[in-house]
Amino acid sequence: MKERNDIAIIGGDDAVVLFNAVGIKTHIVKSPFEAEKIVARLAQERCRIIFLAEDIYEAVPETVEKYQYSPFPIIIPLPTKTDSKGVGLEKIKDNVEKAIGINIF
Amino acid sequence: MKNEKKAGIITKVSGPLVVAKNMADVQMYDVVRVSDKLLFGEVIELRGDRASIQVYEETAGIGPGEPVYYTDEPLSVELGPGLIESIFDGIQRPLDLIYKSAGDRIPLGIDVPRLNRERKWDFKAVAKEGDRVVTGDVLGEVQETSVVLHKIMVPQDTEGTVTWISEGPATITDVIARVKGDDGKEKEITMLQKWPVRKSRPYKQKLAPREPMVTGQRVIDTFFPIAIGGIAAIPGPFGSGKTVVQHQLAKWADADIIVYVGCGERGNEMTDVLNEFPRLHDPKTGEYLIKRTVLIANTSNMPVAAREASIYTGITIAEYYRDMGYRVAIMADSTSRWAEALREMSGRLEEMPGEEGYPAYLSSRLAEFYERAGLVKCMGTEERIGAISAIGAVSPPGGDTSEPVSQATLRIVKVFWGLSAALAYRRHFPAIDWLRSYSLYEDNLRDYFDSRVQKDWSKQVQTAMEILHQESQLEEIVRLVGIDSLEFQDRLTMECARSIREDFLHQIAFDEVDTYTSLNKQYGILKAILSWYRLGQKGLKEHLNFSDIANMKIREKIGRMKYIVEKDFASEFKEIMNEIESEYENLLAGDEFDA
Repeated sequence: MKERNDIAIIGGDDAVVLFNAVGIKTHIVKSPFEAEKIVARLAQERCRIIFLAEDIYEAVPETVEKYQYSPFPIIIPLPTKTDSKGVGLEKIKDNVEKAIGINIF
Repeated sequence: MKNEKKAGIITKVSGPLVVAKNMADVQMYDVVRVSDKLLFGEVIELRGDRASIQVYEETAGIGPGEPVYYTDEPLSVELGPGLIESIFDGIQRPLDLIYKSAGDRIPLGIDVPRLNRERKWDFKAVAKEGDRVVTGDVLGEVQETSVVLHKIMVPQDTEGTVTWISEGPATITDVIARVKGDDGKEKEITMLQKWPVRKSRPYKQKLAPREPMVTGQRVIDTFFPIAIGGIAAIPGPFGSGKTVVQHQLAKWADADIIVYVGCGERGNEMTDVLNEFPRLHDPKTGEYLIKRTVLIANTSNMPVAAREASIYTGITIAEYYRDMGYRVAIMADSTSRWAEALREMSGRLEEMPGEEGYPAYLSSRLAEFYERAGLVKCMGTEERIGAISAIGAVSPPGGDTSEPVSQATLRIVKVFWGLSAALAYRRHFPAIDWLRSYSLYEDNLRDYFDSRVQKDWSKQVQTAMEILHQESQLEEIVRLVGIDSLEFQDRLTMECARSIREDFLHQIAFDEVDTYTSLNKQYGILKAILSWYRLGQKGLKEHLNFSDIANMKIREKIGRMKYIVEKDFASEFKEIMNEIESEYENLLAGDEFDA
């Protein structure tokens, strides 16, 4: 059986290189288009969790939306070393609001 | 025409209905002349010596005590050369000749020969002296117009040996042949024949329809085809384009002869026909459309009883040309007005009303009319196949097809083109609702389309129909929770359905190119849309974005495919198919992004 990576990280090289150290498969991309391609491939390989560097995450809204309603892969934004833009928090806020009907943050 | 000796006396006048006594000798459906104004009337009921007469002209000024003259003839039409290009009223009086002799208004009781008696036709004999002929055999031919070769057939109940046949110019009342029957009696035959309108003309055998009548209208030919010899109904509320659809069919339908019955509709619609047909060219013959058209006009302001007759007049003329082996299409616009005329007469006759006041025999009368259509083997020794395709418009009040006329019609017809007010309001024309319409000929015609046009025609049509049905389901979800909740695959389906609606189904009757689309072009447009859709689906499974697929440049070209002229279509179609592929490949490779 082909080796399966349950977790993958996609981003610019400085954002993801550290994860190599803990043994997570990293994909270094230069453009959002490349990232889209890799996400699609990983999804076909049934990867479970994909971390996307925040800058990339924001650049590929359609890809994020595409997998929103399928159980896997879960796409999670990852703050880069420069600064967190709070994209992840925003998303959580949205989901909570959708689930319980009010904004509790 | 009138018989002075035999006359009844009017006892009651009620609009177009006149009751007369002293009429015991008259026959049902005989024509009578009412009062000394000699109005045309037809006997429609007999009780003892009282006859109820429906009068085809205005009865103002007529009163009890006035005479009713017998003619001892049933209501008949005159059949012979000169029918084509004419415009008749409901009882086959030539309106153009009346106009010439009497001006704008039709004088009461005017007697005009229905067919031109003076005109000389160049008769060419086909049968020879000594030939044995039976009913329906062709005696000779007359070039009626540049596209119609009128065949002079042996009339009903005539059989025997041709003893003499003429050649060269003759009027329709000149004797052109003599046939000696087996009993030794010689019968003189003229080009003019008479036939009672309420009796259908005989044929040898009725056949199952097997070929489509190509109309050049995409939604009709592709999704709801009508067969040659088929019957169809177009119900729709007013303003939804019934008349335009009828006109389109009259213009482009694949038929040799068109009989257009304008029955109870507005006069200006008939004017449109009269203005347009002499100017429009038939795509097949290149000749003017009027050269193969017979018009029967009984507009809404003309006497109501004649409206009842106009449908029969029309179909009898159609049958006559069918017997020559032609494919005839008869359009009746609209049968609702005709049914209203029935209702009015029935009410005045004090018959027991049925649903909504229509007479109980409404559906049998409708069936009688539509059943005269069909694909038949004609009378005569020579094998000839003729067809009448009947297309009737129905105008249900409020567009609600649950009323009696629509329901009775739907029980008989096999093709239903339901027009929708909502589509018309959205300016989607022809407003034929693809979710409600149906064609029961689809099964019969599938083989024809698959073998004669393209192998995967019916498969492709089915796919397109499925997409349209999916769209209507998805639309409900969108209405509830918004487009964002749809998966991209579904959004692509909706986008494709939109493309089918706008780029394929929508057709502009008044555009020179778009007004007629050949079967191959119809196939091509649909093929391009579906190819794009299939590649899009594949792309979504890969890494392509929905917005990129939806915004592909080629879609604009697909949208304009309907405006490509027929002769360039094959090459442009190939080009477009290649472009779809190459643009898709480029998207996959990501050229757009690198730039």
